[in-house]
Amino acid sequence: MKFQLKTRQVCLFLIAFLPVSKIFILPSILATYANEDMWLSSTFSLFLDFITLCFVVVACTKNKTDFLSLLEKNLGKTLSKTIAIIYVIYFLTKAIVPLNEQKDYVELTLYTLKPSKIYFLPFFAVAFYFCCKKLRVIGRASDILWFFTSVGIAVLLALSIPNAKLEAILPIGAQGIKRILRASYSTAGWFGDSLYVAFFIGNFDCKRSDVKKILLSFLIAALTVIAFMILFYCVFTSIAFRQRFALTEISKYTSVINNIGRFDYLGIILILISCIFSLSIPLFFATKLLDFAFNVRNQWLSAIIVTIIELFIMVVFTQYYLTIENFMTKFAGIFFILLGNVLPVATIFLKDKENFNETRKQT
Amino acid sequence: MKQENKPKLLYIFIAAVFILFFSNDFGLIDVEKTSIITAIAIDKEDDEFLLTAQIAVPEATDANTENLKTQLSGKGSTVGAALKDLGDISGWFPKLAFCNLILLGNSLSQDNVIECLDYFAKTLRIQDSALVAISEKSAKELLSVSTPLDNISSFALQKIMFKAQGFDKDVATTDIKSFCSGHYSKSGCAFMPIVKTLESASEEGKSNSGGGGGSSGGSGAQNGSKGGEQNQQNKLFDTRTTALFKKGFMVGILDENQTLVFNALNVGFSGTSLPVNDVMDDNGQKSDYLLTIISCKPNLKVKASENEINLDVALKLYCKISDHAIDGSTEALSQNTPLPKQLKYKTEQMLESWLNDLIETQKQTECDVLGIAEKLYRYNHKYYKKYKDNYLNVLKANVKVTVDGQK
Repeated sequence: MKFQLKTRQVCLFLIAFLPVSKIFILPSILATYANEDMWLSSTFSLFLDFITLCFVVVACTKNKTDFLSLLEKNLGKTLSKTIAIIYVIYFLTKAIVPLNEQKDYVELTLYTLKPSKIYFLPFFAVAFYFCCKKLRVIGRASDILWFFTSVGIAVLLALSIPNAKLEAILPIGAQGIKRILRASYSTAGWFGDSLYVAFFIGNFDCKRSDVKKILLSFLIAALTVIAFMILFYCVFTSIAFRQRFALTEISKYTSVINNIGRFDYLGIILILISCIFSLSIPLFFATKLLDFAFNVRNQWLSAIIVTIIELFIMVVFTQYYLTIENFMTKFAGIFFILLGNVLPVATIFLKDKENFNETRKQT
Repeated sequence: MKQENKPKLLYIFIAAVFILFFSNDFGLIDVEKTSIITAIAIDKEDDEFLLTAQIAVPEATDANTENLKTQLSGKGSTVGAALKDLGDISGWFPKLAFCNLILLGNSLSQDNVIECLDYFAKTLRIQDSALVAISEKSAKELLSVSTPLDNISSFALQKIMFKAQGFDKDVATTDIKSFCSGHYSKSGCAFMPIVKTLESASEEGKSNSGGGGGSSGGSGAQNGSKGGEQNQQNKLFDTRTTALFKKGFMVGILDENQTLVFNALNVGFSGTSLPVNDVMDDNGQKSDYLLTIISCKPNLKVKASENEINLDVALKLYCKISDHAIDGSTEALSQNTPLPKQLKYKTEQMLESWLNDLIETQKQTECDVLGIAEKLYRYNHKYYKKYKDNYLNVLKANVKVTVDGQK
């Protein structure tokens, strides 16, 4: 049996893409709700993702049939296609805020003047190309981009450590459990990455010994995010909630930067490259789900629909971005937690009865 | 190349041309339409902000080694509007990426300064690490001052305010981020250096030590002035006093000595030279010393209980004698000479007195510049609510300075 992915690529996928989307505006939103306990909120969200991942990885070891076929075999055509459509909406919604935040970031920090309206169009060209490809493209991208992400984040963290006042996160838990959970709930749209691994079921040879590797990779990525959150608050303390683009802000106070110039942008650019693919991932899965839901055979039809929907939202709703962000942070949390954390747990119950006995023997 | 790939390449080429044509050169701007602002001065005139930008003018020649500058002003009801006005009247796009200094004029000392500084903290156009200072006169006037230290006055000011590690720490330097962090902290207090202009020593014919027993590195009054030049060329700067702000309003001033010990507690002041005068020796003779602080270990602890808050301030210094004004003195930084008992005692007494003055100023001005409220919140959280409104009044300070030398 030929698999589209290797276990190594699944591990690198988590390291390459899990942290990058969480270091733009997420830290400032968390700080708005939970101040010095913002890192506890992100830890809680990552813990939820970890629990979800444990279930999903166990499902990976049990099945050699891909996720969508498993759905169809276990739930029937109608229900599985309904779920696929719900997840198309989920992925399209999940992509809106991170896409907008990166668009704003690029516009406000990399351009001196107001750029032309089409400056972000190349992203959609890349996203469209990405969506047209098979799952193998994610594995190949992970093989390269884990290095970009790791180096980029390492540069930023190393430059921010000298300016961090570590006592700023004290007293731990002072904001109260309600505010910590509220912050976690409001930012649920940025988490739920374990769901992606559910789509890898049956697409890589997951042995029991691989479970540890995947969980360890997740922990490395999660610890990177938590370290970033802690350092972000320790650098900015009482004004952390005002630093909308944590990525640019966190590293620039080091005396090396003052003397040499903003060489931290080298790290930032590496992260931005990873981010292009990270933002394309929800669109990629939305495309595959759309193909499945409507039996689309054409390689690029679903890709172009998904890309155009997202582009349309980005262009037409620019003026309503605040409303969208408020909706996502205040009301959509339950939607994201349900579809990103709760339902993926159910993958453990999915099994391909025809291949199950054979698979069990092999593992 | 395969024949079938040709149409694909053509599409890519057309897309690339399309993007380049409509992309507005991806926002790149002509360097001749850009002004590189090195410093900004903000004053208040008729309820409007008057923003003066000092602009470095790049020269396309290597014949002139001096920095050239020009100065432009814009007005507006907000700082952003004043900056826009400046761009409108000059046709230059004001680029703030190289702006490392923001000067506030004395006309702002009665106003809430955060109203103008907040713009810089929020905008992505300037580095938050730009230094902030308040002038004892108009900021525009200060920026226009000619100084023998540098052709661009803001560069000269930066040299004085932002000293290298291991040099004198006699200026309470702050930047936009630190000022705003302080302002939005539990105490709502922040600080920034006051910039005074001085006539050069050669012009006045007198020493310009800046008063007190404070260190002598903080002013620009080092004998670098060109004696024969015009008066305009002989302005120097002193930034060793510090303005205190509470809720954005200036509420007090720390003198040179208080600023020095504030720095010792806040960031440490290793490398600072400390004059200690009139030290009596065993024979009853008085002499003057200059100590160099080799290492400084500050410790500021807040302990709250049901009845009071104790502030323990401890400063442990390891010093060496740099100079001793006496006939036959052998003391020098290169010599491992032990510190005489009297010198240690006098230094400890002097620093403890300055520290007590600092704490007293803090009480009088109600400006929590030492960040007691933060320490109360972080390390004595259960008492925070009880004391948060009157912690400076119930505070009992216990100051201890230990000076050690070679043993």
